[in-house]
Amino acid sequence: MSKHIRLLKPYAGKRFDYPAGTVIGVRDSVAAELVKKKAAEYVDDSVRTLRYPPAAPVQAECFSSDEEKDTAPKGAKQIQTLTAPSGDK
Amino acid sequence: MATTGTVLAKNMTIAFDGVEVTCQVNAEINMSTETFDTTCKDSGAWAEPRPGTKSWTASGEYNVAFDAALGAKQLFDAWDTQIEVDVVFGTGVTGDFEYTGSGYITSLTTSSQGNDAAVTGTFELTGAGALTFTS
Repeated sequence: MSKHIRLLKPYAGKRFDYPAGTVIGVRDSVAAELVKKKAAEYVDDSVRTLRYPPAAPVQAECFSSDEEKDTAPKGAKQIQTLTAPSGDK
Repeated sequence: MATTGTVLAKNMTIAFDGVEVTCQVNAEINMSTETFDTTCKDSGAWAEPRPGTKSWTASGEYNVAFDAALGAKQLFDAWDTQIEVDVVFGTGVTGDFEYTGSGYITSLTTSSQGNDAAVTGTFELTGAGALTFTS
C-alpha cells in the first residue's frame, strides 16, 4: 500500500499542486524522501487523502455576498444566530 | 519490502502523477490488441488474425469529496485542459511490480444515486504510448 503522508510544506506535483496540510497517498520511496526532508509526516494509512485536515477550523467570518462584504462596517463580524423555535411554529 | 502472496485489492490503486486518487472504490487497467485479418482462400476453415495496434486504458471509481486531495476537481481540470498525465497502477510498495504509462483523461462521470449513499465518480484515462509492467 502507498504511504499516506501529511504535507508540512506545499508539494508541487507534475501537474497538480498540493498545499501544506494536505494528506496524500504516494509511493513508499516518495514518502520516505519527503519525510526525510521534513516536508511531510507519516499518518495512518486509513486517513483520508483530503486537501484539508478534518479538524480544520471553520472560517470565523463569512459573507453572503460581495455587496454585503463591501457594506459591512470595518471590523464588524457577521454572526449568524440560529434559534430553535419553542413549540410548534 | 515487496508484497508476497495474493495482493489485496485495497492495496492496489491508481495514482496520477504520483499521487493516489482520493478514496478509490475500484481501479482497473485494461489492455487489448487489435487484430487484422489475413484470412484468404488458402486458409481453410480457420481465420488467420495477426496482432496489430495495442492499446490500454486505466479506469476507476471513487467516492466524491469536495476537499479531496486528488478528486473530482483535479480530474475535471485534467480532462478540461487535456493535459497528459502519468499514471501508475500498483501498490506503491518499493519492489512491487506496477503498470506505468501516460495518457489523457477521456471520460469522467459524477453520480448521485438514491438518498443515503455516497456520491461517486468514475474516470477513465486512455493511454498514449507504451504501457510498462516493471518493478
